[in-house]
Amino acid sequence: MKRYTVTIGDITHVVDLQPLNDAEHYRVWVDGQVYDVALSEAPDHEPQVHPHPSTEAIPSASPAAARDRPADTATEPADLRAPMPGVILEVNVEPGAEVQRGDQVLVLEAMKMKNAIRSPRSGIVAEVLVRPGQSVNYDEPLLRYRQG
Amino acid sequence: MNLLDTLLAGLLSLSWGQVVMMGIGGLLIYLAIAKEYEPVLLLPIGAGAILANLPLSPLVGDDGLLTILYNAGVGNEMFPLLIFVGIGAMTDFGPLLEQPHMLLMGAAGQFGIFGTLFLALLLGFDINEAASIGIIGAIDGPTSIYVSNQLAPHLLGPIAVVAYSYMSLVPIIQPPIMRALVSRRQRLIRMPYSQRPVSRRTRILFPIIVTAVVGLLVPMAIPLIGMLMLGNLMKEAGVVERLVGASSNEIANAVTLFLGLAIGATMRAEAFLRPQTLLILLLGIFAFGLDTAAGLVFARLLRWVVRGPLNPLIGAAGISAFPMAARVVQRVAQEEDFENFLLMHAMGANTAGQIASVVAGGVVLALFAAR
Repeated sequence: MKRYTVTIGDITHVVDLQPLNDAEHYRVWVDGQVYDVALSEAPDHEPQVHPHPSTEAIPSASPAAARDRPADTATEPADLRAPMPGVILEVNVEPGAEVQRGDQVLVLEAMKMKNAIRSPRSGIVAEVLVRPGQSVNYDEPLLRYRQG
Repeated sequence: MNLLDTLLAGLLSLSWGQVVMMGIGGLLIYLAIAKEYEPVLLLPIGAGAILANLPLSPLVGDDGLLTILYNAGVGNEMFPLLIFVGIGAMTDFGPLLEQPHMLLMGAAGQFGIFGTLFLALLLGFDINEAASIGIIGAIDGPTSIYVSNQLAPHLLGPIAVVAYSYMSLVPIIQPPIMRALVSRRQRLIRMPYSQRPVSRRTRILFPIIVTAVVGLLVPMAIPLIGMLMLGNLMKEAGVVERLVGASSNEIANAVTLFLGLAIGATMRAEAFLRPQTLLILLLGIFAFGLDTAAGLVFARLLRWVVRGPLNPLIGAAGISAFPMAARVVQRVAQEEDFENFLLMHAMGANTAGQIASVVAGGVVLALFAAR
């Protein structure tokens, strides 16, 4: 099961996606509601990639448009960015480490509060761009995931 | 026989009230050590209560240390004001300056003061007592001490103890109210954080302007806001690090010890062991709850006015308990969505709450002190 967070306008939805038998049918939970959806391939359609799904509204949100687009390419972020300014206290992963969505990868201290930074996706860490003690600004890349 | 009486004078004059008060002092020390509830204040308060209630204690005689401390800094309000200098020197108003609209959240977080005031009036407290109890809703220790000492000095002990005890319980009191009043769907709202650079000039001018504006509008708030902003001005000025260090460390620590001891010494059985202390305990938690609820409801209403996403949880940070309230907001939001970081917004609301609670304290004094 994969989990995505989709922001439309000012409402954030948590979407859980479970493949059913084949790659075209999915069971989808959106804020507790269950839907069964079928995806149809549109080969010449370029999926739009949003590197920061959390901060950008996805423009076309009609159900028809959503059906036409494979969902996962639109929301998997290529890197993890600082959600707020602060100081890196701990780095919990190394390049090559395999992480699951929700695994703690860093600890960021902001306003004297320790914050666990968890991986927004499952994947393999390609590169850690910060070290403990380093100050980071908002939206600064913290680590990169291996593509593919 | 006379010799025996003299030797056992302490034991013989021990009253049951003193025993109970020493027990309460012991309880505060226990909470400070075992639960770490505001230990820097509750431990000295508990110790002061025991030292003052030991029979024939010279510490509370006319020239006793605790009496001297009370007269030196509590009766004339000096200690809470000195603590405010330290708080100002430690507070970063940056998140508020980046998001000035958070000032509104701070205003909403003071609702509990006035709601509790009316409830206390209904329960039979006189107007000055009710105002002093209401100020517990400022959720700010020094402000509560400052105001209640002027309006109802006989309630200073219970009010200070209640204010500080509940303040340490903010992480327990607030989350259930937050979950009850904000739906899961709204708790999931993310608020993009746009870091706006705040110039040094703005940071330096801010404390000066706030002092001038608040001072002109609410003269009774000048001591509180003036000292808070003095500390902040020194911090932002960047040229008086030694004064900043002294204010936020040595002076704040020493004064906290003196203040705690002196307040503990006011916890005399005859003043404390009354039904009204229990009522203050209940009214205090009502004030905390009402502040939180009002902040949350206000934030929900604000969603209709403000463009852009607004997570109503932020409203719970509009109280003065800094930085606990902001951390609670962050924690509750993360329970639902670990990628949701509301901390900077909550800090903005939280520092706004600090300013607003000081202003509210001044308003309460202006309304009732003359009577």
